[in-house]
Amino acid sequence: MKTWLYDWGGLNNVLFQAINANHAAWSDSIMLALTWAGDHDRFSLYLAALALVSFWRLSRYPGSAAAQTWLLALTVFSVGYLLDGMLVIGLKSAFDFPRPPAVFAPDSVIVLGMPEFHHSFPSGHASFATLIAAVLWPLAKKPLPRVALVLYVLGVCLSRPYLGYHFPADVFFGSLKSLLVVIALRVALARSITAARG
Amino acid sequence: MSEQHMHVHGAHEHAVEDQAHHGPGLAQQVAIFTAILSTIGAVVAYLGAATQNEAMLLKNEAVLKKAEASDQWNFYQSKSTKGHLAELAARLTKNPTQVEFYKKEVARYDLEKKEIRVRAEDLDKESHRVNESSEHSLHPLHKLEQALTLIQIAIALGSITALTRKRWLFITALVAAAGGITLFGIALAL
Repeated sequence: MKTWLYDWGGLNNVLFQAINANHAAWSDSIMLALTWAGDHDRFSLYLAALALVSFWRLSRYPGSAAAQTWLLALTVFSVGYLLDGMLVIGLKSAFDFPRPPAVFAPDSVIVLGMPEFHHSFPSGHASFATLIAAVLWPLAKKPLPRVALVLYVLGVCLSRPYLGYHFPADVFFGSLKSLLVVIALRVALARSITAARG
Repeated sequence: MSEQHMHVHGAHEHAVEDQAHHGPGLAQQVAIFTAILSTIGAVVAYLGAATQNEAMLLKNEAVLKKAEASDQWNFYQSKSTKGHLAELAARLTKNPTQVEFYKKEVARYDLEKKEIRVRAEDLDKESHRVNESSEHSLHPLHKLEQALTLIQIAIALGSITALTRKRWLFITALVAAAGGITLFGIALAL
């Protein structure tokens, strides 16, 4: 089962090596910056920014649909972060898949930073980046911000195998999981609001 | 053919209607509450990371001191072995000049051993002290982690309040926030 779902018949390892093999100083800097931006330690920073914009929207355009959309995004982000965080921790402990440095010989993996060996699946960075993008998606109505969100998620997802911390399957499933969490949460919140208000 | 339009109310449409009755007060309060709590959360998270780094640095220093102490104990051992060999040589030799020489060597090794022993014991004590500091510096970490969890729960509950307009939920969020801030205060006092 794992061979097809996770290893993709060997493609997962091949893709990892293709992404991880080529390094340059400029690409290292970009990938480290993307990983920094996708770190869940940035949650408070992003949440504070989102809360302040929501407050500004509510003050400036009270009762507007746009202000409420920001408020809903704020709720989905804060609740989603808790749910997604619990899921990531639970899945990492349950599966405990090895990270690339534990799978390949030391000279065939490039790790930028401290090597890690356990809890590869799923990628917390990919999960968090997708959570942010999925939360902000309904707020970004124009194509340019949406392209920026997609590039942000793709960049963070690419940075993890590039830096030697995750396999492509880790980031793919991490990303997919967060997307489903946000969709489910939006539906659940919409229903609970309707129920709460009769 | 007549078209039938069925309008399904979305979350924000409910909120717009509701706001027409209640005003934006609670929503604004929640937004600013979230912004303040996330800022406190950022400080708590930063302190947690700084605490971990400090503990790790102290642990490294303790290991280094232990390694230095181990070096000194090895040095002590080699001086001790040399002293025993000199003592043996003094017993085996018949030549009085050589006996005198070996006895002086034994006395020298004994003196050097004492100095080395003092250095090794000082390094052992230093390693023990730094190790204790490392463990002590980790004490606030658990409290900081609990504080951060409570703050995140408060943020989540608070933001749900803005949509559902349930005041009791906001009170629960305030209680969780107060708990988080109290634990943060306790962590700072440790």
